[in-house]
Amino acid sequence: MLLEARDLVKRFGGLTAVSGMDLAVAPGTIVGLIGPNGSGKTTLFNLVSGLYRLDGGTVLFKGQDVTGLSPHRIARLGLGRTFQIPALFRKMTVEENLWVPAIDEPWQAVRRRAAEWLDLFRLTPLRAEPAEVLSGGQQKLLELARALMRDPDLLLLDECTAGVQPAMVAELLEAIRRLRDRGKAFVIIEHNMEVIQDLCEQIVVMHEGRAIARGDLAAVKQDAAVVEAYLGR
Amino acid sequence: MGPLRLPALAAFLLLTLLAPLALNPFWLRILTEILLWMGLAVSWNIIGGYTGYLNFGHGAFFGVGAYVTAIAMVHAGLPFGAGLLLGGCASAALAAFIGLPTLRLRGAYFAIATWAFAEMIRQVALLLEVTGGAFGMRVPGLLDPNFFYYVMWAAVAGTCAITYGLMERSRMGYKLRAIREQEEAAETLGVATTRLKLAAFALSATFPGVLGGIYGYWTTYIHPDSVLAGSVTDQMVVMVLLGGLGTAVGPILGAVLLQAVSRFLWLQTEQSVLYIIFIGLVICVVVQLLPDGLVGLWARLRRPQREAGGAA
Repeated sequence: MLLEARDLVKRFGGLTAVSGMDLAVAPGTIVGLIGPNGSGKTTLFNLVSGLYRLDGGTVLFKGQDVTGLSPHRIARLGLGRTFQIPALFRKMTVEENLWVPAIDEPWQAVRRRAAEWLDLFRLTPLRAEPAEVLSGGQQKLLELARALMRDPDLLLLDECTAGVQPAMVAELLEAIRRLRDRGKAFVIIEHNMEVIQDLCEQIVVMHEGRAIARGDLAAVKQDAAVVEAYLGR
Repeated sequence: MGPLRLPALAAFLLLTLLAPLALNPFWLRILTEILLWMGLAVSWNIIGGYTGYLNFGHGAFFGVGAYVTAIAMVHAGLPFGAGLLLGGCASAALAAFIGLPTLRLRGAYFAIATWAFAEMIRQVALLLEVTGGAFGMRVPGLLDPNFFYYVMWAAVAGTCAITYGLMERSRMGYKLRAIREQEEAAETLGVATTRLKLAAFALSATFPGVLGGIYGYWTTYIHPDSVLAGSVTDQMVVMVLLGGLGTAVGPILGAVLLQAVSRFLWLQTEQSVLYIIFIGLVICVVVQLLPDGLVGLWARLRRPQREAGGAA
């Protein structure tokens, strides 16, 4: 397995946001993570990427125990992520945003790779503009391109299609599929069920900090616990 | 750098280098003071401007540099140059030591922690025997205004050049700006934020340490209420905010303007209270009207012209 998160626990004061959560991701797969608002999906991303300290459980990445490692060390091992609200370097240009993750590599290679991603996501005309002038959808694309600059083995994408125009969503999904075919793995938090259906081999449904169902979309839709979590009793 | 900027910069450097030949000691002293504040403001900008950590204890490094240089000369009998080197190193080491716990804090918490650290250093200097305590300390000096002008000039030019080289166009500069913009995102992209912040903090503390050492040798007397006063930091911060936070030119512009006004008001009234009122007004104007300082204002004024030019 590429990622194995076992029995993860995270508490904020009296609130248990993640409670005994397991997640396993194999190389070259796309896992969809869905669940009602507040079910702990983004907190799970923060735990796996090292932004939050765990109150319990372990995270293995490429067979290595990364529990308690700082986020930059986990990133250097090959784990990338995006944020629900794009966390761009707003005053830096679009191009500079892409340079930062790969800045220790030779300049020519960094610039070439940045140009490729900008081209793919149709951001080339905006490359010299500050990131803050981009539309919400463009910011999502830029953040994804930035995460890809490190060439990660596993990418955690938090609502990566939100605000992106439909024509671009199709290209984005195609790009994700192509990367998957090259062995990259993804965990995707998404509220758009069409995207989930389109992309994901496996779906994990979270509710109240734990997984309540796993399987393909058809299976989890039929699951009584999932119906109850979304619609109530 | 544009085609006209390099010759303009060279002409400016040559003029300032030749200034002692044309100016009398009074104006040379004023120019030396301006250089001192330029260096301090530029150094504060490294951690406050580029990295976004508002350090309200930066003046402490100026004082530590002044005291370490003076102690090295008075008590250890070392020459000025060696004392200066020790002063810069001591400030950098102290910054690294203080930075380890404080750089984990953010925003107002970091500002308060650094302010408290500076106050602690001032109190310690007031108590210690080796610093002369509340009596202050006499420093053997060299009463040659030209010498200090050139030393200060060299120190400030070095500060500016290193800052520009490291912050504007280097890998370290990009990473520090990323930390300022979005520290969590930078960290998840593989940037070792803690180590970088510590390096930036130590680097930014080295320059005031050196400038403090020169200042003590220049004025021949230092006291915790002069070199470790909170107003030293306050002025640096206001100079950078007025000129433009996180820009190469802003701190220089702010230092020249504020120090020129300070000396002008003092010459007119022989009181410093008007300058303090002026500083208060500058803070109000910057907060309300110039969030990006004068450099930002200049950029805003030029933008419509560029856009009009582009549309034509």
